[in-house]
Amino acid sequence: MKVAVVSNTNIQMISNMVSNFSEVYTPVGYGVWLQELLEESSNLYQFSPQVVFILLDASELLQTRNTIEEIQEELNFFSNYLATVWTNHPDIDFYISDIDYPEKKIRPYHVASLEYEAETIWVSLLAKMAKTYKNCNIFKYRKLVKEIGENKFYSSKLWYLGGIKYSNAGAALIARRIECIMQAGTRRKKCLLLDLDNTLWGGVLGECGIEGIELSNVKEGARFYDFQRRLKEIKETGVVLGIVSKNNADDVQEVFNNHQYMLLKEQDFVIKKINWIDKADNIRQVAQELNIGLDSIVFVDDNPVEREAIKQLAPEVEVPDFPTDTTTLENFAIDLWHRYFFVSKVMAEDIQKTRMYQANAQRSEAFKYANNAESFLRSLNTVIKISQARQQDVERIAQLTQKTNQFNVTTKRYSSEDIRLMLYSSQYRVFVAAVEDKFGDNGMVAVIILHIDLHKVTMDSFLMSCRVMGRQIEDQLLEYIEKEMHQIGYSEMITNYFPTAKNMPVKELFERLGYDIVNIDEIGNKTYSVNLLEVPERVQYAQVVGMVGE
Amino acid sequence: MKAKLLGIVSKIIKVPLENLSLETSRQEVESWDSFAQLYLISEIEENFNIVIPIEEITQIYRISDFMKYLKE
Repeated sequence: MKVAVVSNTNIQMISNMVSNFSEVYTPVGYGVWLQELLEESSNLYQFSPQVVFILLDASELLQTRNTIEEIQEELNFFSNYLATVWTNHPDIDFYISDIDYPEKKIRPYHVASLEYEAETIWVSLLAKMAKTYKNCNIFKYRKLVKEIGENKFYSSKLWYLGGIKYSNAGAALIARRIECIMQAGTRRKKCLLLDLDNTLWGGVLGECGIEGIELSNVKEGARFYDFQRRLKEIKETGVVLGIVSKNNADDVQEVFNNHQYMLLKEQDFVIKKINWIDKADNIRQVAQELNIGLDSIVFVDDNPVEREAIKQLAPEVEVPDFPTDTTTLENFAIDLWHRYFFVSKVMAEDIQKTRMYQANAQRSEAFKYANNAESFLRSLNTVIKISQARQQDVERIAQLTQKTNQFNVTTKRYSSEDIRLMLYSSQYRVFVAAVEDKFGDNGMVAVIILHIDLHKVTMDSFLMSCRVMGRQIEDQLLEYIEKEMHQIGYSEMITNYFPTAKNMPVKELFERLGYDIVNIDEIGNKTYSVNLLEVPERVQYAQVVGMVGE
Repeated sequence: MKAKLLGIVSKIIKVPLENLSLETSRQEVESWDSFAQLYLISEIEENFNIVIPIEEITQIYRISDFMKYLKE
């Protein structure tokens, strides 16, 4: 990822810190931030960043403006220019800071604060822009200042010595938030597993009963209520919640049904392991049933013994320390969000995720009852809808290329911009597939990118979300592509498998589907070829709806 | 205290700990430039919760020069 950080003050310190995790560009000299953004041929754009952070220091920006009218005028001026920046560079994600304007001017106490008013004006201008322009995002700078306080955030010594506004602590905080935003999504965990007793409520349910547990919307019980509220918000950004608790399932059911302040409802949890079995076993089962890796799971439990057991028996699982002071539970949830689940934007698929994983869990359940795999697959009534990628699919496609590790034959990662270029290019064809079954709509789950030239077709990427793996959907997808390519006149298709630590599941995919190996190199990269005139028929478990021509 | 100080210096001027001693001076280390100097002073101030007066900053030349602020 390439990132640029621009500012109207010296931010070399921040830029140095950002360079630890990303290639970074910062304009030389800080008087030029607006020119760099406006000029099409500036060094900034020649660097071709994917993300640009704009950090504005209000004291410098507005120091010569003395009335609110002047401030308003100045801020309008900036927002008008910035609007053209967002418009001219639709493929770059911009993060523009709100402003923190420390009140230094000495004036009688009752006089209204210009600085505060300026902050508000800017925030409302930003809010309007962020609503209008998809690539304009707000970088919540003031919030960072508040986190450690103005006195710690800024350093007057560094200001007088080097034109640097921030203390090291302030700079580090900004750099960490930039890192957080940049890496959001790539390292995001998928599932949060929660204990119940002394975690979602106070006390032990089996001992004190539904009347005795601490959980209410006021006073002491509210610390658990507030915790649950934040957890619910985490869930709403597309994180799957689950319960792993040693308890009597009936007792818990009673809490779900009858406790007035049980904010998290039964349906908020995709999976519930309420039993007396070892928690490590339960967690492994959860991973299996949801078809996710143990390294996608975060486990929260107040009991240090349980936490230690998981750390030893399932070391891939993230096990954060639980606060000893339960009045800090709400902040603990916010901390969990930043550490494991932070995303900058939430997509429709993310929100639906809980429902989809729920369907997944039900499917695993149904699988247990089906006599054999074949009749099970048929019983799912799967419909695969294949279509040519459109503009509105670009972000989801890029997201899938970024996140898919297991079913991914070449593991090429693409940005939205890369994908957009492919859609315009005559050398690429990008297909997407959505999968529905009797348990629900999985949304777009597979992407196939073909590189085509006059004589041959090469498969650049073939990837599929793990949600639908193991259902031989790939067979029918590929068959569709083979036929499509045959129809437009190609007789051969080339495919590749590039091994990674995680894509073992597709190691033999092309062999299984009857492709011929034409080359294997020393690190195990395989190249295959298939004659499109005589590909074998594939087993048909699903109904395929081709919408490529539409 | 000495170890913590050396640790901070090592991190900021990007020189391994084993190559540093209290006697190491700015002249010997290329990466200890004026920017690193600022960064260093502020990191030491924030970590030890001390203040190094702006007038005395130009006199800081060796790592040991920081020690007097830490002891006081």
